[in-house]
Amino acid sequence: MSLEDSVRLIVEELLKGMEKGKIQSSNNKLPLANSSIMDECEITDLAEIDLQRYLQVPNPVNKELYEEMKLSTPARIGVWRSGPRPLTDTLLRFRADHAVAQDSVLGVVPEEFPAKYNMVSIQTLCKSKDEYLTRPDLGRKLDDENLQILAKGCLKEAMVQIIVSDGLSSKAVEANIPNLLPALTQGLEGMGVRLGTPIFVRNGRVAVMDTIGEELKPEVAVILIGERPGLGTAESMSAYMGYNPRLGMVESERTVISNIHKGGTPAAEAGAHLASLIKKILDAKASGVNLE
Amino acid sequence: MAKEMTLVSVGIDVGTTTTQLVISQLTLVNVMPGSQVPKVEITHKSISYMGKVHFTPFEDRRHVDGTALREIVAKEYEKAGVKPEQIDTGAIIITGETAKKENASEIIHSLADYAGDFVVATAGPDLESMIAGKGSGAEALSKRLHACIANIDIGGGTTNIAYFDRGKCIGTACINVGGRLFEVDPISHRLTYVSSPAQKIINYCNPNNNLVSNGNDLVLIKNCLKSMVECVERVIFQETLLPQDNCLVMTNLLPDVKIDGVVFSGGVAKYIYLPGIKEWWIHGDVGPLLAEAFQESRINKSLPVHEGAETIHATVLGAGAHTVNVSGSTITVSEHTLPVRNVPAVYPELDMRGKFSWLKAAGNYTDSLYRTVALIVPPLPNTDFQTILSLAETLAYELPLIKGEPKVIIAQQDIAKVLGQTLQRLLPASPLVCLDGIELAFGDFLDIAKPLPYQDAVPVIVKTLIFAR
Repeated sequence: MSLEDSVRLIVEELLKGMEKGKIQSSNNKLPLANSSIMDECEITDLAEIDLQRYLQVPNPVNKELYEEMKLSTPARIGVWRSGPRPLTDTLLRFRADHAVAQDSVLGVVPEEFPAKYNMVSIQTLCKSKDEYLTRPDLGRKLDDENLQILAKGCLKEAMVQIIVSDGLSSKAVEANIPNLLPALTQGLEGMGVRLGTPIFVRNGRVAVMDTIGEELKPEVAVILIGERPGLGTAESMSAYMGYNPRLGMVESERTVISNIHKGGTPAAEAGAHLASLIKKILDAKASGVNLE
Repeated sequence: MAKEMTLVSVGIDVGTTTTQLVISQLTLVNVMPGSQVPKVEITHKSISYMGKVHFTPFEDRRHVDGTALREIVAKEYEKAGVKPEQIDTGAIIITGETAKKENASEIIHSLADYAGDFVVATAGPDLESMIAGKGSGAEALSKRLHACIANIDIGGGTTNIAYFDRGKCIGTACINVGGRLFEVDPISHRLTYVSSPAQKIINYCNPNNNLVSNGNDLVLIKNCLKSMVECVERVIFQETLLPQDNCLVMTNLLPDVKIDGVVFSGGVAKYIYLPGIKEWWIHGDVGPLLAEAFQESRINKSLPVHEGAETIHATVLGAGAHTVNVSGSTITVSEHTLPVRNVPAVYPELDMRGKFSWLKAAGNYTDSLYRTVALIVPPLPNTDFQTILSLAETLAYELPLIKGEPKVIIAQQDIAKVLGQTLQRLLPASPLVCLDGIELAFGDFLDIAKPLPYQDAVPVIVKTLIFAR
């Protein structure tokens, strides 16, 4: 039996049980199992449970230690079991988080988002998400039409060019940019840095900064891009910075700050940190391993 | 960019009986993986020099001999091969009965100035208790065992108790019970000096003075010590204190919790762990007899006793290696603003519109004693840019009304960099120090050292206790 089939079976059984109003679960605080009447409005979203505070082991010997262990890691530890299998809600939550991660990769940043932050919006050679996932090379290139948009709409030879891209997580852009961008802009302007016109790139890879660098010739480019989502968070963002971004620059020339999200470095603080890091790159005229 | 750096830290413990100095090396490392925002922590502490145990010099019963004390420190520095200007940080702690001497504070501050650029003078029984527990290894033990461990540091003048629950200090007490409250003549074994708290206990144990007149000092001493240890028992087991205890218990802030074990430290602890000494008069005091009384106590008999990493050196090690915190590296510090010393932590009030206001609380620290105050920013509901911006606007309005420079702000969330940059935009002319990552509480005082060359981290010493108020 495949995983999907077994989940389906479990859910069906669970629902059957609920209709009869016979499901009893003394140690299980999950509202799904406690409601006796099938009322969709009363079902709490599984994804809203804070897993690190959710104690599934019934009657733990040392509850405080158990809590401490749970709080020390976002990993799914101490989830209890039903026979040799995980509990239904453990399995469902796992699937739900996996679904969130998939949605985040396949999701799209809303059309109006770039304009809201005064960004010039362009697209790489990838015309669809499928193409984006299967052809990383195309995610680094721009066609003539998009290069024209840059040439017309953007300041050239700025000190710092900010680029935002969906990358592998559209959710990361929506969750972090509203707090990161103003902090980064404020920080850089406070240090007297002249900024270019911010750019939004749909279906972009990190190295699209090289292509943009050739066109606009900024001193430093920084690309804020959604990371590949995991089961812990789908909203994590990275910032890659390159001095003198150009075609043919090697990966070791890029400086990176990763794990920008609520549970990692909060977006606003990350923006401020990036501002001072970029200032360092400008002063040293080097990035990546050359900066170390 | 260096991967790690070391700080040289000195700890000097001026106790009732002895004075000692240790020099330790604190290793600072960025603990985050290379691609993440750096975070500097103290990862390793090692002792590079352990000084000799000296008798604390006194001019008379009421005055510490400052000149002799400074000579001890100078000689120890010479033996260790360091100069005061090479010392990055550390603490001098004056403890037990010595802290009650008339010139204690003056001497200790001048010694701190001599000992190094950023060595702080500390005193206070609560801090001493906590420092001893950190130095003895009780703190680390409670963390490792996931248990609540009591550290009982028995010195010459006081017994300092600190509870550590899974690595966190949750309460302290200080009791006037120590090995040198009675002094004896090593030849005749007769009492030569009785301190004032000990005299009160003598009066209680021996109201008619008949034991002394009989020349039966040993019986008298043993009775008194038993009575003193019983007082410590009552404090630890949360029992009602008896009238004679009141003259002994100096502070008691221990919570009513079940403790899983005890660690003994301090000079007397040696004789608890290694009992059976016959020449109890060997130090000219009653330390070994006090150890015997503790051995007979319910504390020793009913609770698991663990051996700590240090006994007599616990306080001095704690002072040298466990007083410094590091805030870094996403912080904002204007140039040439540090160090600052004795900065009171000021907590805000919530006004009618739900906004923080520090004006009233800062008004309590307007005298010339304080160069500036540190405004504490309690945790915000979220760390969105808008939230931080509105907080910064409130601060930008209030900061110019609050006396002192640099303007010091300590955030309790990871927002010091963005908050600092926002404030620099709003108040471009004000020198600013904006830190986070430091645990503080109402009534704390801070010393903030010069920023380290590596990763913009700043050493901070917090000087009073979190739960003491």
